[in-house]
Amino acid sequence: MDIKKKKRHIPALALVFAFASMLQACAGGSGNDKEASSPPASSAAPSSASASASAAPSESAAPSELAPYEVSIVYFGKPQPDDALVEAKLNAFFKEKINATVKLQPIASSDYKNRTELMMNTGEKMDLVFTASWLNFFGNVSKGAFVELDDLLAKYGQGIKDRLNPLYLEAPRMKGKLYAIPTNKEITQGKALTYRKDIVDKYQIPIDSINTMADLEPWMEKVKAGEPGIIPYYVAGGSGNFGGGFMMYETRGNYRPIGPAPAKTPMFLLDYKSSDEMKVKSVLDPEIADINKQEVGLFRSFYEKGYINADAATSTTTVNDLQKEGKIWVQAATWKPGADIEMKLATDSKYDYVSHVVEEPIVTTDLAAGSMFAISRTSKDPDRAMMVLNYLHTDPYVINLFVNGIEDKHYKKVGENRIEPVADSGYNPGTSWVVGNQLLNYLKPGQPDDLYTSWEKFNNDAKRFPLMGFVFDEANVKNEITQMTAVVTEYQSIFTGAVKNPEKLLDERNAKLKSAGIEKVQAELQKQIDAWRAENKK
Amino acid sequence: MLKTASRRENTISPLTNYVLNGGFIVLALACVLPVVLVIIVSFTHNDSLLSRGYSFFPAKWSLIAYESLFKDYGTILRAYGVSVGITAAGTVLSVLLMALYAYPISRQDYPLRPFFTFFLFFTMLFSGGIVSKYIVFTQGLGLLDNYLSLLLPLLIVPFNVIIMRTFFQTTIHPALIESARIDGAGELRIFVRIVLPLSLPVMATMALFSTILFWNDWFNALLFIRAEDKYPVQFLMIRVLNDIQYLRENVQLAAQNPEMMRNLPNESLQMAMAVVGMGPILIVYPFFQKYFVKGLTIGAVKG
Repeated sequence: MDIKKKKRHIPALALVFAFASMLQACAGGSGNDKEASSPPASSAAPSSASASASAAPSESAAPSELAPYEVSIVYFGKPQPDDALVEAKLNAFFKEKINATVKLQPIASSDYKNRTELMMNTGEKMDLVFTASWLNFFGNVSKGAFVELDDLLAKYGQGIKDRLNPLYLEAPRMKGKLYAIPTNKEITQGKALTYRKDIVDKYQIPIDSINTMADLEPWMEKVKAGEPGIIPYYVAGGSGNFGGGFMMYETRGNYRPIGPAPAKTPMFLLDYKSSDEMKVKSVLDPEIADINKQEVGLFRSFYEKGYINADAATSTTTVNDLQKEGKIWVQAATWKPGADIEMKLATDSKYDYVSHVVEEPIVTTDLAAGSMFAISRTSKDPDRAMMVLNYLHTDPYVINLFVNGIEDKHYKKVGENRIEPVADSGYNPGTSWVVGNQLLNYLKPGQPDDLYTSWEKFNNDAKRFPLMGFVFDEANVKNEITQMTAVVTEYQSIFTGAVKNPEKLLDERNAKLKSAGIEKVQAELQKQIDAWRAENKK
Repeated sequence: MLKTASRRENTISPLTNYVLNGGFIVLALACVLPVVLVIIVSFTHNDSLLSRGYSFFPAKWSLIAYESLFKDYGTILRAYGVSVGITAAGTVLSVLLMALYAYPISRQDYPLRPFFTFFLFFTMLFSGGIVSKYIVFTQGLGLLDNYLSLLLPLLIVPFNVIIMRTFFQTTIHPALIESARIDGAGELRIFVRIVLPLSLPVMATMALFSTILFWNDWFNALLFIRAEDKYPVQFLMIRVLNDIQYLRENVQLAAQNPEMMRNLPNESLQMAMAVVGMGPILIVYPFFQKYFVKGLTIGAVKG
């Protein structure tokens, strides 16, 4: 009886297994055929512009000597319907030059960090990978995710070296070795107060003499009285824009944030003008605490007078949305040449903006390492990856194909260096700040002709932060930083102005930070800075 | 005396009746109103959203959210197609496979029953984590950008299998199987002709669970799908929401690169996407609902 029963169950089980193996089989099949379908190369010859790349030594290697290789490019960008068309065009170019093809792997902003870390952790094959200081670049370097680039750059990236400001190549280093190539764009950003221009004109506001938040006060009053429906200064505490924290050190002294910033709030500062000592101060320092108190007090008074939106503590509406509706008069923003036009374009071109820079632009490690490409440890041919990157930095045809798409399909050329994007064209990834050399991008409507020359000047003039090239290693104080992050998050809303008695809360917060171990972190930071200085003999 | 006699044995007092009904009405409203609000917000003009926030009676109506959503109707339709296809195929396969697993381990006379029950149960206690899952699917099976990667991970839900097993155990009397066998039916015939028809409630319930599971799934797409034209509709939506969230949390980054902000949809568009995303599942729901009357238990003894 028993044996009989056993046998009779076999069909059901067999069915399950048969099914499973069938699924596997067809999975393998369709997976492979995707790989094989790389688009055919050899089509229209690249435009004459590509001649400018001739400086690169990679040219000397004839394409036939190189074995075919597919360079995957993982980058920060929303996938586009026409990605495949652009990829095919790029392939035609690279096939002819270096017998390579590329595989575009755009990943949308919110997924980028998680997905790339997963890919790194699982050892997936990648070649060029977009990375940045804010994407845990230095952590990934110490985990060994990226290849050292000094030799590769010298061999195959001569064009990059020629064009990139040398300061750039100081930033993405760990223990003196280079691990990423920054995108060539503006190397630093100043902080500015950006105003809606029509209101500035209407009230004849002397924006050049407004250098601190406190200077805004009389004009806040005027705008508030004269323009109902406009929020003079918008704060969205519910979404991470905690008004008071953004510019306080820039407008009140020479202190600039360094080191770890729990919950994105700077805790440690350095006076960048007295650089001989490099003495780290924390927010517990009486002088810094005083600056903090003045700023939160000012924001509180702004709030009480109605210059700040009433829901400042909890609002999550983005600044952009409100700007598009013309509901904001002034906003603290980052600045580079052309920032006002960028802002105008980003807010549907309904209003003009005008800025006054209140902070001298300074190059820090974080800013200079704000947008880069590294070569993954899993790359099978780092040489070729570097060659591709070199083209993206030197060849206007390639880089514009990448960021703007195909001529006459995704954009129309209206001048030698100027284009008009086609609306809803299927390719508008917004990656000009992500990849290659932005100074070779075609200009878009509204951008001035001299944009890139003024960027170059901006880069050349930028002041070097004394700690440029220094990277803090958090390993020894991880627990303290975690605790500090919790404290900072708890008290973050005191900077929105929407909470009563912010000065008292600030004291309370600082006491908690002290018991969370801020002094230990400060000591560690100082120790590492001293060691770094000794090493760099400064 | 007379009063009590006029009432039937299990009747409750009118007061209790009102209170209970009132309670359920409140509960029902709490479920329905947020959905209604989402629909209304999706038709609200952005101006009144910014000035007055969410409202059941917006000052200004607008269809603009749907217009901009369907401007790119190709993408939405394709994503819909993927979602519907995966959900339909997934539901059928999933219910079939789970029944095929649950039925043998529900039979007392199946010798390998303890092993397979444990095998199933074990996966509920321990899982390999995302990294190993990712490695198995991308490098082991090579399923990157393959629809199977959306299908396979959800086919068997151990907990649901245990519910089914318990259902088979409690409703299908062994004597029934015994008599079928005496009449000359083989195992397959017994399963298909006797067990399945008697188990319609649990099959329908599992079908509903699976439908919802497959329809709502976006995480596997996040892991395994790279090609824009293979995204299911839920992933398109979650990505938009996440992108907005991401930029809100990284104000500084966004301020440095205004290009990132340019094409972000506003709130009415987000709500319109939610409405479009939940549509089909609302239609499917009533078809399964009648089977819920019976209720299901997994019993006091697990494992």
